[in-house]
Amino acid sequence: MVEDQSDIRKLIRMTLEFESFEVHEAHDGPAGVALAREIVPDVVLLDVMMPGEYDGLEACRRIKADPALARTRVVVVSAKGLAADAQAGRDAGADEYLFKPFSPMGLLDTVERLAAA
Amino acid sequence: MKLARDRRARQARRVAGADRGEAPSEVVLREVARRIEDAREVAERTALSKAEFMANISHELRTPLQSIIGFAELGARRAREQPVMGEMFRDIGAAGHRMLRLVNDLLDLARADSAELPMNFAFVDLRPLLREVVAELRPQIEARGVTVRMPAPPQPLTLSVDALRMQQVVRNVLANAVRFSPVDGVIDLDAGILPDGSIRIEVGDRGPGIPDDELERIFDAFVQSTRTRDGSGGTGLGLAISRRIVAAHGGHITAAHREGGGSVFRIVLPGMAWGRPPAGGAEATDTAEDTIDLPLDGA
Repeated sequence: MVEDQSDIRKLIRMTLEFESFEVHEAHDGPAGVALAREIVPDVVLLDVMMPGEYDGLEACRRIKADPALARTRVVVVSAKGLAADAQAGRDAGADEYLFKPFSPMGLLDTVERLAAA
Repeated sequence: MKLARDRRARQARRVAGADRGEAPSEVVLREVARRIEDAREVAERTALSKAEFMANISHELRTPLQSIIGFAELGARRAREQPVMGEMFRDIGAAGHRMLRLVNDLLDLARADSAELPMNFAFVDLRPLLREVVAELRPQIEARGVTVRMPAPPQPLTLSVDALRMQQVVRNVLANAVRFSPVDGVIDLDAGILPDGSIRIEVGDRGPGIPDDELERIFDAFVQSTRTRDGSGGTGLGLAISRRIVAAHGGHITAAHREGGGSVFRIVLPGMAWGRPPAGGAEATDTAEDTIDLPLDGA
């Protein structure tokens, strides 16, 4: 999970850990890409707007371009609820796109589906 | 009094021109004119940046709403064994969702006012579009125990609209009708082509009706009819946004009394040449045989 806001990190962590997922956290794009390369997760949840060298969309492109992460699925999560933003997520190679505020159960369904695929 | 006069005198001396021997009244007038001009510039800049400001506010409000709505849902799920606790979490969630609707509506309104509401026009048949709105509202319709009667218009109601925005309009009007209908009430959702080729959509309810002096005002932002202002979840912005969306399509939306009690909301959208009924034909209206009761499964 790559998210700069601590309360949202907590929400995602609690949602997923209740269902026995193992959750690792990073707070910006570069740290998220580094963490993904280290642990090779089933699913990466990427916030779009984060401070730092690059945002969630660029992190998504880098993860998707890394052959070692070919099996990792990426969900882009953004507060901008516009169709154009969802398209930007798909263009960056995201497998799914969620709008904030997302439903924790909706997020859980998405992660379970992608992790099982 | 003396102190106030002294202060004004000092201010007058400070403003430009006071040392050039002009009469104090001229100096003050010029200062007033300058301030008015400054205020006008500020107002213009404000109007231009209102939509941008609202977009930022909307983003800033959504972030805490994510925590409120998210933890409420998670809490309700974890409190399944404790009904009272679960209800509290659901109440927090409902309030969060209501606030989210308000944030979204405010953003729409600000965008519509600055003509920045994104519109994607395409040719669509309004009949399936209307059925989709009814299907979407079915949980509220069933919870309220009302029946929505939607006759099947015999010919396509095709015109160029932003389908999502037009659904937003119909959803707003229909949701109001459901909310304010008596239990077991009937709502008529009717659509057809007018003799001039315009397309009309009408939603008639058997609710408390709208007083004469409120038929227009309910389309103002944050105005709700005195007969239906019950805090039942409306933001008071739905009709204001609906009117702007319909206007962006070149049409208009009005409210009137329904014969026999209740209200009827009428949306008229300028039609297309091929949408016209046969020459000399009256409005392509529906007969009793066409009338079907919802649910429209498989429609």
